[in-house]
Amino acid sequence: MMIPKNDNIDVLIIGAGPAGLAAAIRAKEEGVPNVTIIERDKILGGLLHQCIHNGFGLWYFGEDMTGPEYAKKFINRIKEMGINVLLDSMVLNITPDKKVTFCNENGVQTINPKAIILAMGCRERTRESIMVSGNRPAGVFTAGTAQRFVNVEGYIPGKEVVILGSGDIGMIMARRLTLEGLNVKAVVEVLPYIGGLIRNEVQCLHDFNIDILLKHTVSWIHGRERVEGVTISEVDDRMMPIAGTEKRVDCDTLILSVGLIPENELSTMAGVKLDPITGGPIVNEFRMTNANGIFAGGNVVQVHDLVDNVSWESEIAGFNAARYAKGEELDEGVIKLIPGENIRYVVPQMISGKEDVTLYMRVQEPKETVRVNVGDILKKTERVVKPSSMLTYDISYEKHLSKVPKGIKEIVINCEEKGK
Amino acid sequence: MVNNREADIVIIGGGIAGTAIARELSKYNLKTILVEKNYALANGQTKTATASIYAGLVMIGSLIAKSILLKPGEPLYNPDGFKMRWCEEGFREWPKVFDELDIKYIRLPVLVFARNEEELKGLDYYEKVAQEMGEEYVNSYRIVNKDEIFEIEPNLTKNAIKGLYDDRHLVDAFPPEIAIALAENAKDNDVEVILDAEVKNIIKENAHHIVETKQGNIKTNFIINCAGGYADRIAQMGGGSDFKFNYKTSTLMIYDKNKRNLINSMVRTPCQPGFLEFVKPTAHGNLIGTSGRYGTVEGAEDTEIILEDGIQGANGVSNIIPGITRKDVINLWRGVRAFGTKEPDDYLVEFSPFNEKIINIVLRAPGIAGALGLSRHVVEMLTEAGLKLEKKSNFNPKRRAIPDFSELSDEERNELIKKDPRYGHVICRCETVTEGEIVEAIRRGAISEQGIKFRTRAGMGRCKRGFCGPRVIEILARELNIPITEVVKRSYNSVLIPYKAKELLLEKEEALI
Ligand SMILES: Cc1cc2nc3c(=O)[nH]c(=O)nc-3n(C[C@H](O)[C@H](O)[C@H](O)COP(=O)(O)OP(=O)(O)OC[C@H]3O[C@@H](n4cnc5c(N)ncnc54)[C@H](O)[C@@H]3O)c2cc1C
Ligand SMILES: Cc1cc2nc3c(=O)[nH]c(=O)nc-3n(C[C@H](O)[C@H](O)[C@H](O)COP(=O)(O)OP(=O)(O)OC[C@H]3O[C@@H](n4cnc5c(N)ncnc54)[C@H](O)[C@@H]3O)c2cc1C
Repeated sequence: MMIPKNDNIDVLIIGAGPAGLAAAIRAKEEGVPNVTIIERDKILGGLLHQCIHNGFGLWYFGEDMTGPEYAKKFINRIKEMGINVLLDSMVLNITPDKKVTFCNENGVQTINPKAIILAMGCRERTRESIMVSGNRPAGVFTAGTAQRFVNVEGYIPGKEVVILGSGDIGMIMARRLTLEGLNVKAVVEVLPYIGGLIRNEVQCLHDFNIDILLKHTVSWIHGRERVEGVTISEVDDRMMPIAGTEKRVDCDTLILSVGLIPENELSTMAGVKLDPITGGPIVNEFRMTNANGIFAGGNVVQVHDLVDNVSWESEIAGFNAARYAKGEELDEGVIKLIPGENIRYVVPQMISGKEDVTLYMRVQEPKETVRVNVGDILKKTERVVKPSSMLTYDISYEKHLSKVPKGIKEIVINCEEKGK
Repeated sequence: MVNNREADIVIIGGGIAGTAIARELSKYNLKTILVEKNYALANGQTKTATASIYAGLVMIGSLIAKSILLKPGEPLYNPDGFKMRWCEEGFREWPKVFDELDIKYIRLPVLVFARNEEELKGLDYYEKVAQEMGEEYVNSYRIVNKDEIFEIEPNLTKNAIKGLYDDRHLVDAFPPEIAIALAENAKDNDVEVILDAEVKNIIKENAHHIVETKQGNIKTNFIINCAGGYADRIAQMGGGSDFKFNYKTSTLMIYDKNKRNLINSMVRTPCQPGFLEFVKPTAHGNLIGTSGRYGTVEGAEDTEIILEDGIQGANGVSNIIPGITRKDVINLWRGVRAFGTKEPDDYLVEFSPFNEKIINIVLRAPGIAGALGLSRHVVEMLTEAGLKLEKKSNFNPKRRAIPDFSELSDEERNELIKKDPRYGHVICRCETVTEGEIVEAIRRGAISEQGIKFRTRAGMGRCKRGFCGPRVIEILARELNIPITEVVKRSYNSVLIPYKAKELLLEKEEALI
C-alpha cells in the first residue's frame, strides 16, 4: 500500500464509488501529478459491487452492463493512469483548511491536499427515521443492507418478505429475492405512484407478478424477537394509516426502501454548507462547495437514479478540482438558481453565468404536459414529469447564458402546467 | 449447558438490580451465579431507561409525574422509604462507582421552565413540593427570569417566561453500560454470569433449591429474584407471589449527535401527574427526549412503538427546542416501567412470604439511582438470614472499559493500532467503532448484536447498523466460531440472517424430486 506524502497530494478523493473513480480519472487527465483516492472498503467501486443487476452505463457507454462491469471499466483506467489508491482506510475528519485525518491498520494520519473531492455517497433511511409502529425484532433490513447480504456475502435474510417503499433498490431486491426462492408478498408504497424508475417497475415487479400496493403503508410490525408479520393499511392524504383498512400479512422479513440520505458528516466538519432539500452540499457549476478547494460529486451531492449521471457530475468536480490545485482561478457562483413552482431542487445551486452548465432537477409532484421555464432563457415542454426521474438540461453560454442581463442575481425555474 | 452446578446464591435477572447485587456479593467469599434469559445483559427495563441519577429538581418532577400511581391520601414523598433513601445516597455514590468501573458519565444542570399560565402553576407546584421536602430541596434550585433562561439555553423556545434552575443534581450514564460494567467487575471477582439461561422453574429440595434454567440446573442456598417486570412469575415459581404490576409506558427518542450542541442542560416543562416532557444530552453525546402521557399496558413485554406517540413526542420536543425536528430522531422505543402493587411508592425488597430463601426485588423508576443502596441492603438481609459472609481479601474494585477509539487522541489511537492493527479498522462509521473494540467486547462475553452494541456502541448511530450490521455479524460468527446463520440480535429466537444463499432454492428443488 502506498502511503501518500503529506505535502504533495494535489487532489484527494474521498470515496471510491462511481463518483470518486470518475472524478479521479478526470482530475488526473488534467495533468496534476498526485491524485489519490481514499476508500474505507477493501475494494474499489462503492455501491456498484452489490448491484449485480444490469441497467448501468446505457447512457455513458451506450452499453447495458451490471454494476461491477461498469465499475471495472473505471477501475482499469485508475490502474493504467497511476492514480494512488488507499484502501481499507476510513476518513475520520476534514477541517475547513483541508486537513484530512484517516485511519487504517497502519495508524492514524493527517494529510493536507491542495483540493478535496467529497464522494462519500449516501446512506439509507431507517425504520427509526420513518417511525413504524410495533415491535423491534430481528428481520427488519434496509434494502441496500439486504442487497449486500445476498449479493456480496451470500446470505438471505428470511423466507417471506414484505417490502416497504418502491424505490429502485426496493424493486430490484423484490426481483432478486424472488429469484433466490423467497416469497415476496407485496411491495407497499405510501405515495400514489412508484418511487423508482419505470423500467424497474416493469422488469422487477410486473414481470414477476409481485403485488404493488400504492397509497398503503406498513402500520405495524409484529413479532417480539423475529418478525412474524406486518399489518398493511391504506393511508390518508397526510400519509397516516386509515383505521379499519388493516390487513395482516405473515412474513419473517421486512425490507425498507424508504429513501437515501447523502452522507455529509465529513462535509459538515469541513464547514461545508448543505442544501436542506438535497441533503448535499450547496455547489456551484464547478461542483465547488462554499469551502474553498473542497468539491463534491455523485450521491453525496444529490441522490441520483442513474450511475451515468453520477459519473458525469463527478467529472465536473474532478476537472475543476485539478484546475484549482494548479492554481487556476475559478469564477464564483453569482447567480442563484431558485426552485420555483413544482421544482423540488436544482443542482448546481449557483452558477457564474459564464460557462456551459448542466442542470439537474427534480419535480415535487408528477404532472403531465408541462412547460419547464429556466428563467427567460430556456423553455421546454415535457410530456410527463415525475419526482423519480431527474430532469437534466444543458444550458449553453452562447445560446442561453450570454443573453442574461448583467447584474442578475437569480434565475427561477418553474414547472407549469400547460394552458395555465 | 452448564450441568448441575452448585452455588450459595443465584441471582435471577441481569438488569441493574441483578448486576449491582452481583458486584456487591463479589466482595465476599461466596459462590454466586447470575442467570439472565437473554443473550445480552440489561435487556429489560434497564436498557429503556432515560439514564438519569438524580436528586433536587428532577426528583421533585419524578415524584409529581409518578403521583398518578398514588391512592388518595398517600403522601407524595416518603423520606424513610427505600427509594428516597437509596436514591439520595445513590446520587452521591454513583459517580465514585463510575470512576472505579471506568463508566462514562456526565453531570448536567436542569432547567424546568414555563411557557404559559398553566405551566407557571406547574412551577409553583414544584416549589410547594420542594418546601414540603425540606431545605435541601428548596436550596437545590434558583428561580431564573427570561433573560437568564436564554443565557443558559439560547436555543430554547422563545415562549419561555420563567424557570427553575438546578445546576448540580443530575448525573447521566448509559444504563446498559453501567449494568455490564458491574457484571464484568463481578466476573473478575469470581461471580459466574450465564446468558441465555431463562429460569423455567424453582424446586425446593430439603434445605436448598434447584433453579432450573435453559442452561441446566443450579443447586443453591439462596435465590435473589431480580427479574424486573417478570419478578411476579419468578416469585410464583418459588412458592407464591403477593404482588402484581402496574405497567406504565413512555416513548423515548434519541436524536442525532449533530444536535448535541443545541442544549447545555436537561430542559423540561413542569410535569403534571402522569405526564413527562424533556430533552437532555446523554453521556455519549446524543440528545434524548420525550413528551407525552404515561400509557398503560398489560405486561412487561408490551414495548411496541406507537407511531402517534412518536410523532407527538417529537413535536413536544420541537416545541421545547425548535431546532430539533422529527427528522433528527435516530431511534425511539417505548419503555415499560413495572410498578409493583404491594408497596405504595417504594421499592419492594423482602424475603418472599412463601419462601424464606428467596428475596423478591421490585425496583420502580428511578430504579437505577437506588441500586447501590439496594445491593448493600441485600447483603444485610442475607447476613440476618444466617448466611456467613466473609470479605474477600483480594477483591478488585477496578474495571477498565474497552478503549473507546472515537474518544482517543491520535497518539493514543496510534499506540493502540501498533499493539493490535484491528483497532485501525473502523467497523461502525457513525460511532467510529473499530474491529479491535468489537473483538474485545466478545472476549468479555458479548454473544449477540445487542451485546456488542451495548459494549461498544456499534450500531447505535444514525444509520442503525446499515453499514456495520453485516460486518458485526461476520465478526461475531468468526470469533464465536459459529455459522453466520446462527448469529442473533438479542435472544435465541432472534436470528438475524437465517439462510445461506441458494438454500431456499435447493429446498424447493428437493420438493420437486
Ligand atoms: C440498489 C441500487 C441499484 C441501482 N441501480 C442502478 C441501475 O440499475 N442503473 C444505474 O445507472 N444506477 C443505479 N444505481 C445508482 C448508482 O449505483 C448510485 O447512484 C451510485 O453508486 C452512487 O455513486 P457514488 O460514488 O456517489 O456513491 P457510492 O457508490 O456509495 O460510493 C461512495 C464510496 O465512498 C466510500 N466512503 C464513504 N465515506 C467514506 C469515508 N469516511 N472514508 C472512506 N471512504 C468513504 C464508500 O465506502 C463508498 O465506496 C443503483 C443504486 C443502488 C443503491
Ligand atoms: C421509560 C423509563 C425511564 C426510566 N428512567 C429512569 C431514570 O432516569 N433513572 C432511573 O434510575 N431509573 C429509570 N427508570 C427505571 C429503571 O429503568 C428500572 O427501575 C430499573 O432498570 C429496573 O431494573 P431491574 O434490574 O429491576 O429490572 P430489569 O432491567 O427489567 O431486569 C430484569 C432482568 O431479568 C431478566 N429476566 C426476566 N425473567 C427472567 C427469567 N425467567 N430468567 C432469567 N432472567 C429473567 C430480564 O431479561 C431482565 O434482564 C426508567 C424506566 C423506564 C421504563
